[in-house]
Amino acid sequence: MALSLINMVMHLVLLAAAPPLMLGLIQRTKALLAGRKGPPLLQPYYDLYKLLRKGIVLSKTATWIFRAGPMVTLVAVLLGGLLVPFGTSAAPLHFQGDVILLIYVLALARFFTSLAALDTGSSFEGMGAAREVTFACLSEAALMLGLLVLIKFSGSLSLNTMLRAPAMHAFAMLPVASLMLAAVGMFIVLLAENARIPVDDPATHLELTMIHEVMVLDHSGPLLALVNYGAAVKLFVFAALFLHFVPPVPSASPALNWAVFAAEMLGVAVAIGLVESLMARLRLTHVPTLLVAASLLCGFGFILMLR
Amino acid sequence: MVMDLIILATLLAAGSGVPGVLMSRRSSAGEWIAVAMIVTASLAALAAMGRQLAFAAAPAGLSEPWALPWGRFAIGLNAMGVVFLIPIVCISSLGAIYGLAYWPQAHHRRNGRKLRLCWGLLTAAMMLIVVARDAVLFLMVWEVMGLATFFLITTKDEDAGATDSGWIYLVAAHLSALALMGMFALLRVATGSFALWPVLPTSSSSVLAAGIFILGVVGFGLKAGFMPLHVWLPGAHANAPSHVSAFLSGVGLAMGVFGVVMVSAQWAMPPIWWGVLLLVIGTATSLGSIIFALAQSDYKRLLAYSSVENIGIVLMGIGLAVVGRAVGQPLWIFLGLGGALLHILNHSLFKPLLFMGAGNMLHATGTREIEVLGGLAHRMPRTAGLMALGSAAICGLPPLNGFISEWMIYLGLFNCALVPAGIRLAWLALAAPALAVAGTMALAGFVKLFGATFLGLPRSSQAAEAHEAGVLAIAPMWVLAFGCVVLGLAPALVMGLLERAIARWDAAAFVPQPALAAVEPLQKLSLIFGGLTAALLLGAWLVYRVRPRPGAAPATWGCGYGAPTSRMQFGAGSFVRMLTDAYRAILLPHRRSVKVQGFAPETASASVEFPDTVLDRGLLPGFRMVARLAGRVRPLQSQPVGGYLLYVLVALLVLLAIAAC
Repeated sequence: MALSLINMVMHLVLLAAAPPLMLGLIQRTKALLAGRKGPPLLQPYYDLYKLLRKGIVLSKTATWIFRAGPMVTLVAVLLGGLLVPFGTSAAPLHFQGDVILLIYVLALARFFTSLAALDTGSSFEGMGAAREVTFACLSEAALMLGLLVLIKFSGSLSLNTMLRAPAMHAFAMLPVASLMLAAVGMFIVLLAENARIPVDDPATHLELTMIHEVMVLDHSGPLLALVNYGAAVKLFVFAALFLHFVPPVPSASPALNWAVFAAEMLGVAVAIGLVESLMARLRLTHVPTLLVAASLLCGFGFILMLR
Repeated sequence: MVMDLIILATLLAAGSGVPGVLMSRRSSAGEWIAVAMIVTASLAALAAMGRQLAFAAAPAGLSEPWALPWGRFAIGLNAMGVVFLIPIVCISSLGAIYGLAYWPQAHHRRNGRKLRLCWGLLTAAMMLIVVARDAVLFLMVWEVMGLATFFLITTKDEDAGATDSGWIYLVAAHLSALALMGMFALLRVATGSFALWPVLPTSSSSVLAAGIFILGVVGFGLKAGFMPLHVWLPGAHANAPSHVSAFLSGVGLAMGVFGVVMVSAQWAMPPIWWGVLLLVIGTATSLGSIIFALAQSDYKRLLAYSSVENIGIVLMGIGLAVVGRAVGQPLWIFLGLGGALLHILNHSLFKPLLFMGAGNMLHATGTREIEVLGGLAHRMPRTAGLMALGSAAICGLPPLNGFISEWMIYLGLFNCALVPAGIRLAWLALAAPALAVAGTMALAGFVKLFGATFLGLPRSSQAAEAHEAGVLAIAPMWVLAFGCVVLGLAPALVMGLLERAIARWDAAAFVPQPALAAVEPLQKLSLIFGGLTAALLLGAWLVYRVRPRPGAAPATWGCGYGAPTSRMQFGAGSFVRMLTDAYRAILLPHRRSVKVQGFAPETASASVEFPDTVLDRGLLPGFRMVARLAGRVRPLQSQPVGGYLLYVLVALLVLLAIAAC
């Protein structure tokens, strides 16, 4: 009992505090590979603190939707973070069928982010919103097929059980081929949903970027802080989700398990940084191909399990 | 008592337009009388349903002989009927109230009285469809429904768009009636009576059973709009007055679903392929129609296609339930049929809400074109808020009602993947990703609809001078929005009713009590949704407390460009361009453009239309070809007498030759 309470507190603390650190690590990785020193690891926290103290500028075109966008998005991804188990410890919220809730809170976030972008009347932000909803059609299929692999394997419809199932079984019991296919697909989904290279370039606000940073161009001050924090939480949740497809062997010690989880999350951040340093962003017209490939990988993973 | 109240309600509804017809066109007393009668009828029907559910152990019924050679006047009410009756009476009342603001007699002297007469008749006919227990009565009220719907669609009979859509509807309605006549005739062969809804012997693999099922799916599918039988639907819903669209879309389509539910309930052990067929049609319908919905530039057509999509989702649930019945999986029945019935209830809340909002937009701007609107949220804040809520609900977003029903259907489909070995149906779970894709495209469509009309800057003077609708138009929308929130937060309110309806459909569904297993997460979901709502409200309070800097509000940043205009905004067509391009093989868009040439080009123009592939690319050209071929044969008929004598001679010779053989 006490153990599960500690695990839950750890989950909440990590969900609330750790996400910006992943962004810092990604930036540091990219900087090192580019031969620069790079900003401090904690720079995303400093930025949030700075933004929270600033005022906001509202376009006269904007309505209540503009302010609702960042707030709803943040609440939605935080709820998603409560559904996904971190490492081997249980998720704070779980019930049969919460896997659908995860997918639909992400949809809720997308709905309000893209409406807030359209609310400004800017054509650039409208383009970003259009790409966001278009690519989501493909990445969501991949996400659901990937989750189907684990549903089929674990026999459960609760993220808490199905995601932790691979770590709970002996290696010989695992459907290794399906898991590997799904893991590749889920990594692509992770990159696409979080607007990283090769789907989108988060490095600038204008020339290179195409989706996420475009949509939030007009947000400022505390609203922008909410946007950035929400994006970091979303990345964190997706990384935690992805890790369940490449599980380590769990140990008996909870402290060790948390340490392994933290190390893995930092590893994902480094991996994203590596991808961003070694690849160029794809041309916009090629992004659907990549996402379809992710869907196919996850779909093959599921079909392999049907037999 | 229960049936007396139902008959009273039916008579009141059917006669609600009559006083108005007897009055002068200038008098607006008739519309208030009609609304009062419809609301009274609804209250009577609700009282009957409450009494039936609360006190009666057995289904209520009434059966009287009548003067016709066949059939009887037989009606009955059970929990399944209640599920379909509630939307009929509620939306009829709310729509009639909305009509006071939207289609007042003072502004529509020519056709206001006709509209209300047919509105009452349609309400009464749909109520009788649900309670009819005799095939002859059923077919009669089905026909009344078809005709009343036709006159409602063609309310503006001087408008060519409305009459064209009306005629197409009329053909579809009669094809549907024809198929149903065939189905009831076969049912009579199978059971020896016209009594509905018979329970047939288990020899369901026979050709007769398959014939009954297929005719039922075609007949009811034409009404519900299963692809590719949906052809009448987009035009009819776009051209009808908006509250009529709300009624037809939110409730009228459900009558077709009601038929499919009842037909598929008649065999204790249906073949698996029936359920698979329904599931496949449902998946194809929801995916196919949402692609068309995305592409539409007319917001009422977009909503109409979205209705088809929702009917597809409902059909997926029903198909899953039939499969579950065939292979003996009660949980599939519970989740599939429960999700389908709940989705019918949900769709009857958010789709009328959206169509009424569309009515407010049409009333305020006079156009159904998405591309010329924009910025309406500033001029029509209440409509905007309600439309935003309706759009979120229809996309299945938490914490609103659309999520609950889709969640149940998803769970049912996922359960297919978990089947024990022996039932090789795990591949049915692949319908879940298909449903997810349809869901994301619906989200794209509604972001386009809401974003391009209510947000940004007005793209035309009509949009810039729009005005908010009156309180009589907003109040019914509030009621519907309230329903969306309540059913989202507390779906347990209707679960008892749904369980009783499912037990009507298949009593065996509850043998191992799967209902409790599925309701436990439902309670948890309600708690989480309550928390989510509280978090959103708290967040809103925090976010709206932040004040922008004092001084004049600046314009949106134009990336360094100093004079952006409203025409430079990202248009609705561009918003979905990547998706419509990806599906151009299905959409077959009709593009016209004048090429820009030279250094000082003349005025150029470009346009793109998305006609309905089945109707405008398939059926109508086909019919025109038949008419052309028929025209070629026509000279044969207009011959002088000598020609006819020749025909007689030739016919005689042919007959002699046949006789000689």
